[in-house]
Amino acid sequence: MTEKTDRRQFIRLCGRTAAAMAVARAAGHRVIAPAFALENPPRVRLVKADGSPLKAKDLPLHANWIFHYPYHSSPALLIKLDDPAPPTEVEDKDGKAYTWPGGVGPDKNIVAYAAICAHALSYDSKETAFLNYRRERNQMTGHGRVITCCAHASVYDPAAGAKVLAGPAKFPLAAVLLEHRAETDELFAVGLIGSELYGEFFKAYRKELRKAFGRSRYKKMVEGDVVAMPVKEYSEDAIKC
Amino acid sequence: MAEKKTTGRRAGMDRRDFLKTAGLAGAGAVAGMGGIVGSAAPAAAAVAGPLGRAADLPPRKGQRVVVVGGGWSGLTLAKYLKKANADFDVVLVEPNAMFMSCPLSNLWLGGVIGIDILLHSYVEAARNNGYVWLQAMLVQLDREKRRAWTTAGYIDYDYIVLAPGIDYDYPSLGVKDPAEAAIVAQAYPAAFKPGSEHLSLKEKLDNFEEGTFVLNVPPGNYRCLPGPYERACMIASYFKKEGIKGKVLLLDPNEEPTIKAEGFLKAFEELYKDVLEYHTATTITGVDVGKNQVITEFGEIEFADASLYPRVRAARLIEDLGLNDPKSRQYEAKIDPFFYNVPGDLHTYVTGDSRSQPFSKSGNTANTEAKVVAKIIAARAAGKEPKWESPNTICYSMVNTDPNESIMVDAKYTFTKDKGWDFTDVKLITERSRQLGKANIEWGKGLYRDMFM
Repeated sequence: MTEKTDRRQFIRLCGRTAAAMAVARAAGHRVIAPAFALENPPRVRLVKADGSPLKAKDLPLHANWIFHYPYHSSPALLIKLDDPAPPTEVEDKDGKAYTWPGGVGPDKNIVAYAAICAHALSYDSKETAFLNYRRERNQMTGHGRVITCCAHASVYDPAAGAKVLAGPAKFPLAAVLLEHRAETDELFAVGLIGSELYGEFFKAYRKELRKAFGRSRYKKMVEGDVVAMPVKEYSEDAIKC
Repeated sequence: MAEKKTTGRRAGMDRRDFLKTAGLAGAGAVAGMGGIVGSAAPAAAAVAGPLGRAADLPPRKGQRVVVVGGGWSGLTLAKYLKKANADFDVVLVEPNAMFMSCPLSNLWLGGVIGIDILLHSYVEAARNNGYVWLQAMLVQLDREKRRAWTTAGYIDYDYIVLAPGIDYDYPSLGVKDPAEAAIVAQAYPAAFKPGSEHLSLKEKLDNFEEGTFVLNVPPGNYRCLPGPYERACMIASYFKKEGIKGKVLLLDPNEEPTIKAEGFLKAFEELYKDVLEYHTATTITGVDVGKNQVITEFGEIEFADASLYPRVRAARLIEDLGLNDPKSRQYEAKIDPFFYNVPGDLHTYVTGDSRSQPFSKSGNTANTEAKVVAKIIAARAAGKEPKWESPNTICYSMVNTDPNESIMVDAKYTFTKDKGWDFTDVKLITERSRQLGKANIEWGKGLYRDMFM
């Protein structure tokens, strides 16, 4: 799949993505639609390894969890921050502004981003997770409460749309849009906005993704329930740097 | 200076060889003309062979930028010039048939990674990123007419970037005679210009039976500051693993490792006490190929085998084109320290390890610097003011292979009037770890993706 064909799946906002953005707008924030959003994004429920729904209250504070979205092979980080994360304006890879709609959940502190580095596509695999959220300051960059990619020390702010704080990355990680259902406390992944990188991701890793996720399954979109678990359980090595 | 007579094997001898085969009457004169602006460049009508014809290239669509040298600097430049301005017509001139990485090559010597990780295709790089690769070597330049002659014909251009890398300065090892230098280079290849030198070093290790294997740290600013120390660790680790009755002897003119000293010294002490000897303040003043000896001011050292790393100089091409800074002992290019152009010439640039700024001559430096220079050229082509940004030197070194453990440093550069260039934003991790070992390998893979995808 070339970047071009893949990009066709990303068009101006529709359906669920627009709905998620509307939440931010309703809260009185100025909302700028992203130039790219996943077309017909799957709506999936996040569940724990045992298949039971993952509730917002079950997610520990400072969680550094992983699930796969929007494709079976594309990892995303699920993070519970200390503080509510309000909608934030960030810029995509072409320098176009868009609004990241902010954290969800009772405390508006649950966020999710693609675990594929916007710099050189390092990602979180079963063998090694190069991108991790950690509350403590890391040695390599001195930043705390950030997502760090330890391959080249790119640092992203999960409380602000994964804005780049340091390192060679030039634009934020793609943001997974989450929804929280208050009645059941369940979490759903419903869309993806920001900068499209999946064409390049598949191109770079096709061989290993086929092996790990199935020859054609790796590039199929997820559906139904999707398992989320701590990175350190998913991956042999959650790299600290 | 007598020291000027180095071998400059790739840039010098190959060019002469080519000129011979091209059967040019005034071949010597052409090679010696060295970029004298507006000089009597070969007149097209009178010259047979590649110097007399245009290179076979697709028709020029926009402003043409020629990038000379397909190393870390040139490859990144070619790609990011296209990113900065899609209308640029970019031609990468590189004679090698494929790319081999010097960064991470010590890990291959240590048996940590396969050689496939180091090898990449110029065809892929060019096709994926919308530029043209011309498999050729630059032989002459007319900066006034903006015409570059290569072994595959001449190219007319708007901008040219020279990123030819390094050559070795054998007189720095006390080997003053060029003929002798060629023998030393074959006997004990330095293996910091990737390709056959590296394969040869691997061959030496595979065939090593017992005794001392000598490595050295060159004086001055050399390619890959931690390289000799990391290589000493990798070879020592290999000796240990294979139960080889040998030791690595690392000779260093400095008082301690030039970078990540604490991390390296800890590894030497804790991991390689019996297989690695580190001699500081020791300069090689001569080499005796017949006796398998290096000469230092403390006497002769006999060895079973060696890989000797002379002082590094900017690629001979820079001097041949008359672009070296006469004040630079390492023949580095005289360029604007912030915008990389040759003084008074906004169409000629020099980047990578031939630059004159005292930046670390590393892959990561070249990669990040090239992105800045691509933007500088795009800005100038559009009539805008360019902006300086610091290159970034993220540099891992593997010090153990059982398990794979690395240390790292991350630094930028700053310039002040009174101090000149200095490191800034330095982050150092001297505690070796398995996790940094993984990050080390991913560092390379990520940058290969950045250059070739």
